[in-house]
Amino acid sequence: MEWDALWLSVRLGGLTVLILLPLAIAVGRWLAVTRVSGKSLIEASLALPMILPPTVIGLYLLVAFGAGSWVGALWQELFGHTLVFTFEGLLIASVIVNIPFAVQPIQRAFEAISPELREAAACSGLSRWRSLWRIELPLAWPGIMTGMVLTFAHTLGEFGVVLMVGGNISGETRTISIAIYDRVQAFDNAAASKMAGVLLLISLVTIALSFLFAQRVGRRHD
Amino acid sequence: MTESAGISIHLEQDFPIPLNIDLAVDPGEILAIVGPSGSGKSTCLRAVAGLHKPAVGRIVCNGATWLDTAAGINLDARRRRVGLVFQSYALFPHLTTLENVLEALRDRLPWTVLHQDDLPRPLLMARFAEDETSCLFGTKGLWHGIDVPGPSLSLVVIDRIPFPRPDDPLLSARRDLVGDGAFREIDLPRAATELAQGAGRLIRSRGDIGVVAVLDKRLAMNRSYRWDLLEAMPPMARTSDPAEVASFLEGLQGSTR
Repeated sequence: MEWDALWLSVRLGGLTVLILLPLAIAVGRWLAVTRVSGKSLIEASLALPMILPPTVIGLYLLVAFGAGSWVGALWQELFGHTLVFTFEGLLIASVIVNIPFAVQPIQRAFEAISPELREAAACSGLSRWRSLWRIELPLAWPGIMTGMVLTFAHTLGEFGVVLMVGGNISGETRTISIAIYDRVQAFDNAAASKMAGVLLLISLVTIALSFLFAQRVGRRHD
Repeated sequence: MTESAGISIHLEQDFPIPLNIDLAVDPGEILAIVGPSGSGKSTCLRAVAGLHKPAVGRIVCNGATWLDTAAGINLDARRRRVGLVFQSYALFPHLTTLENVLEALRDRLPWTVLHQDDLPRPLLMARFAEDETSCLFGTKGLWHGIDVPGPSLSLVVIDRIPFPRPDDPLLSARRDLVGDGAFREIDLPRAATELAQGAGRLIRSRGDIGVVAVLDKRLAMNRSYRWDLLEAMPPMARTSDPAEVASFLEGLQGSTR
């Protein structure tokens, strides 16, 4: 059992969720109410990582992160090493790949809030911030929860992009999914099964907890 | 038409509903707008509330210009003080009735507003007693055991006669047993006791002065039981004139200062 690979995956998932949460709420809320022209195009580009094969995304990110691109060059300039095959590079890739999984449920949740409730909040004199904090976020909570759980679970399971961008460096980029693949390649099915079992258990517990949590909040005042 | 008091409304638009409205309402006047659906009643009210911007318009309320398309003025809905009841009510579904009311009050009252769940009970009562102008809002949980003598508690507002819930299973069973006279025998005595206890929040020491306001017109109008309730309450002068109450409270404020 490669505990450091598991820990790396959990860390990657947690940090991805932390970074995506405020971004996805801002973007999801904006997409839910905006009438800007070209909205479909924006939505389509945000959904793209869900449709594209992971190897294709991985290839693009690999090129973008490489020392030949300005992103890669800038990173090298600032931090003294390249972005590819590092945990930071993996994290950025993970955030990009998970955008649709976080944004879409949150956008749907904000869309489900009746515009009259926003207007009622405005007529009651609630500031925009207070209206978001007291009215919209609690109502969108189950969607936000879903987005976060999907992001976390998807990060644990991501394989193609990790392999392309991160490679397989122990303690730096070797996630649990890569470790499982690695074991299978070495005909060590027993170790692979053990890790797969642990991953299954973690996923099950995460999803069960999130369902419970979303229900609790939703039921508060029935 | 003067613009210093009341509200004057002028609206013109062709789209989405053709409108040409010109009306003024004086302070205290009640105006009903009646018309077939699609004639622009809601659009007019939404424009007054600041939720809709007509092509051309001018709205002046008590001397303040809320909307003047010619001058490029369109005051945000948040800063117009308008009460608007939506067709579907638009109550905040995740909040209790009390929280719905408080959400609109908190930022608009010039005084500190306390909700019964804001703080643990002893801290809450200390905050309330300390700040003479603070307002404390609560449900049945606040009914008993509030002991604030002095000017900090000089107005008790009870939103309605505290009849017991009709769905209380124990009381329902008793009502079934009693039959026809159940209301007089079960509900009324309970409401009378509760009301007297609620009113008792005001008078905690010999020198306490103040007002108990019951916002339930049944207490003034219902011939069959109003006296059962009133006689149970502590002796106090009664009025149904809000102006009299206001001047009494103002006098009270002056004397404690």
